[in-house]
Amino acid sequence: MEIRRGIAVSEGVAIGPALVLDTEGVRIEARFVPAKQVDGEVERLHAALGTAAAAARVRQQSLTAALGQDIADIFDAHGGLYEDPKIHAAIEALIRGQLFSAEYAVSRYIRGYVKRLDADASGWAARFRADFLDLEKQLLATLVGERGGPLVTTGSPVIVVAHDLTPSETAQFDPKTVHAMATESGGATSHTAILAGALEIPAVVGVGKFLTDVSGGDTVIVDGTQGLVIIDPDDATLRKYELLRRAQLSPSGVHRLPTRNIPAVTRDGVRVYLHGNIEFPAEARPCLDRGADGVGLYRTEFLYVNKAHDPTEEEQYEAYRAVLTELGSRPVVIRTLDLGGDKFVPATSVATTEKNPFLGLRSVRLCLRNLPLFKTQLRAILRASVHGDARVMFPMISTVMELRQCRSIWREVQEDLEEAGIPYKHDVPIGTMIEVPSAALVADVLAKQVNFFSIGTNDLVQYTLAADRNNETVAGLYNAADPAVLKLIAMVVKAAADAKVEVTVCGEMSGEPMFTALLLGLGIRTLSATPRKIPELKRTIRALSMPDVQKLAAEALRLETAREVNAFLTAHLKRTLPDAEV
Amino acid sequence: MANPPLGLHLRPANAIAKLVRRTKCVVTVALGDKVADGRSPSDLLMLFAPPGTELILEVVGDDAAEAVEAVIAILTAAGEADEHPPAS
Repeated sequence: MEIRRGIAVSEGVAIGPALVLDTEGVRIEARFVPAKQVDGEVERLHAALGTAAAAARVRQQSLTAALGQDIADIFDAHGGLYEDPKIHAAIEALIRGQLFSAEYAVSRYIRGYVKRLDADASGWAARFRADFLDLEKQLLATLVGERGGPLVTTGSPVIVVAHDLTPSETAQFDPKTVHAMATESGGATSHTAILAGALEIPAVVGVGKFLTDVSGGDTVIVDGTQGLVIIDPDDATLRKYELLRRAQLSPSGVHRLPTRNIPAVTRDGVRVYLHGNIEFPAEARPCLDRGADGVGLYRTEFLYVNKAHDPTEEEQYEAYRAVLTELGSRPVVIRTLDLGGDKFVPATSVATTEKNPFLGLRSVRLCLRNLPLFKTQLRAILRASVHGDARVMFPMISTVMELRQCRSIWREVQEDLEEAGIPYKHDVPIGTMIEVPSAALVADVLAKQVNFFSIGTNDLVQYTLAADRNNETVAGLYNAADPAVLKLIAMVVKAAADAKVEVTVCGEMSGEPMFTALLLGLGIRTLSATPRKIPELKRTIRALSMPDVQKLAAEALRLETAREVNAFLTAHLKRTLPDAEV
Repeated sequence: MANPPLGLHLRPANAIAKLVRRTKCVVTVALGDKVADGRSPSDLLMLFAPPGTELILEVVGDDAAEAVEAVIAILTAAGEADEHPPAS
């Protein structure tokens, strides 16, 4: 039994067989094979090498005409590598000697070879890196292809363990089969963590190196509440967790939480609105079940990732209509596409790689460069608006000009619908996310252009402190309690109040009870958080009173470090809610 | 001795291996204390031989002289620069 500790990002307990995904997202189901299967694995290896060599030669033939002999010969050289007797011998030795599966042996050998290339002090040999990684990819595609399709078709329940997961991989997970996930890297606010929370799959991230200790099929326990990953548990541990797991499945779960039908009001009677952040239409119902007053953030990225083509207007309309209908008269804030070129490439544009994607062409910037894509989305939102209280929100606005452009495109789309005689609601409120420091600084100007603000604290923290929340080495700088962040939030709230526009907080910060008193004290009256946080937030709000939180906010703004703010807020929460988990 | 002007990159390594596998010779290529089997392109690449590196050829077997000529021809002719698009 091995127990590893990581960051608990999505509550709950799951037990099941491990499905190991390597860094490329290729599924290596088993790392080891029984001794009697070794000959079969060696045969699979040779067959895969043969297939890959033949495919390389076919590619060589077809490229000769198009790109010339020199380029095409690269593929002949790849063919030569698939036939390299030394490579054959080395991989075969790993299968026979270590009982590795063919997939795992290929991966281990090639990764080792690439490491040796990287070790060339002159740097010359590193140029072959991409070639060898390509060989690995081709071979794994052949080998894995034989054993089963892509991850989504995994029939039986599994626990996914990986170095890292991309949002698009996570989005493919079906909670019916993927019962939990654990990753070596990642932080508390990574997209993986957010999505795991949305799908309500227990998840632990930032575990550090542990994949070498897991083989496909090993029994793994993921304790997303304590942040533990237990590999190959002993009987006592297994029994304990079986009990925990059954307890969470009991029908007395969330739907009957006592807070369900009571409003979020402070002790002195101030009403606070709690909205849910959702990603998929199917989350709308659970969001209401938890007592949400609306959807404060409806992410629309799921419509675009993993698709062969951009979503049609009709597909989008259906997705928006479903949520608006479910929410009835409650507000639904639909955020326009918020992806960067690193995660998503519009089907209509040419792929380019960016050196610094988080400061690059992403989110609304991408939309403004790709008007057909953007207009299709806006049209679908406007058409769906007749089904409920729709609001539209633009992400990652960093200048006033961008917001003006968005508004003029919004008007154009309205005129188009008008001309075509298609019904839409004429007074759909427009909002902007405030998640770039420049936007916070000119919030007073932006406020003249919109009906509401929504402060996206995850990105605001990242951009204010210039620290990547997924990079463990600088993640310490990433702190929502940093005085710089608090000052920006206070500025935005003031600008909103002066201009009489609504302001919401929709980052992870709004879901943490530790910050609830502070945000209320700063003047926030609407919080949008992961739906499962709503009952806890409600309970917290009902323990607070306005004069107290206003005093708290004023004092917090005078503190000098994130650490002081943290300690101060934690102590306050302990005083107001002695049994709160902090 | 051979001195490939463009270095021992992917395509000459492949061409040498193909040639050696056609002959009855045992060909080894050495650089410093590293020795590569001429039949194995992955071995040849591991010599880390950028342009202008002196390589020592050892050829044993029938038609050794012809094989030496052919290997040197590959190394000195070795195509265009090694700039190629990432293969995928």
